[in-house]
Amino acid sequence: MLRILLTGVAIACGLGGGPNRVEAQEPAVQSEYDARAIRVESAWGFRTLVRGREGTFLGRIGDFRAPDVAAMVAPSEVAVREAKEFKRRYDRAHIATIPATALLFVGLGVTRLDGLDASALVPAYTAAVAGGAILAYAAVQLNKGYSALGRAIWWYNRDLPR
Amino acid sequence: MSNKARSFFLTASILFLGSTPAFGQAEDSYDVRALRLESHWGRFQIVRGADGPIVGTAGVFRTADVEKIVAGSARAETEAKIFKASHRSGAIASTLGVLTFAGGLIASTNNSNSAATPILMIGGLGGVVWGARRLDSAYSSLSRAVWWYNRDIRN
Repeated sequence: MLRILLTGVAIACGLGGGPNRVEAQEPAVQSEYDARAIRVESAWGFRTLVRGREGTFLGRIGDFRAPDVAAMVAPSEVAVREAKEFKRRYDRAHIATIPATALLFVGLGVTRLDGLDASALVPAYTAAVAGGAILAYAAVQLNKGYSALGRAIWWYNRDLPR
Repeated sequence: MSNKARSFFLTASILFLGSTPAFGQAEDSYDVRALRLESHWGRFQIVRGADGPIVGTAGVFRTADVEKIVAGSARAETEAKIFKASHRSGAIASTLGVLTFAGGLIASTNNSNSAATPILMIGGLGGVVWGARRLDSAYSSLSRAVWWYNRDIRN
């Protein structure tokens, strides 16, 4: 009698979805991270943003315009703040790079011209040094930008349901 | 209870409370344990937790034992092994490539008409490109190792 009763309870639990529901919830909670969590990968010197276990391509960093990271990490407030910090520094670095490179190469080019007197050399060297200094500034900005990107992704992944 | 004993227990309890994580920040929580990669002058810093310490760095020539850092997550450990293998071969190939290319360049500027000069330069460039690809692959594996490690944190 007791065996029949226990069998009945076991079947009722199985049909009612008691333990099964618990099993079914775990993968669903884990899959949120598996499907949506972001990471940065590297390809041909470019950093690419990929999502989830399968590594779905989201965008490439290294072009003159970075992808809209703030939109990607939108539900997480801290992540959005860090993503904006990344964009600000990234844009600043790229805006600075173009005139800095021009100054550096023009300055160095002029110093190699024959027959220039000292009065022309001074501005040429000044331009080259200024170009180098601005490039260094751009590198610092880019460095800080990438760190902010790392933090943005960290916070976004943190705020995913686990 | 005497004043001496009371002050002893008070100090002990303060020390004990100070050594345990704050409420809501269990030792195995994401906020405390999760890793991230930050950029630092061409190298990666592996940082733990929201404001946590730097637990390792990964550069071309020197890198931390990532396998040890991500220990506990099987998939992360696998990626860390791939990172180690790719990183080593990438660093060696890049270094040899640069040295070979520099050798070829020096030979060419010394006006030596040797047929080996272009071979050295092309071979060196090939080594640099192959090494860079391996390093790219290594850093992707490092990122995946961190991703899997963070995934496997329970809270």
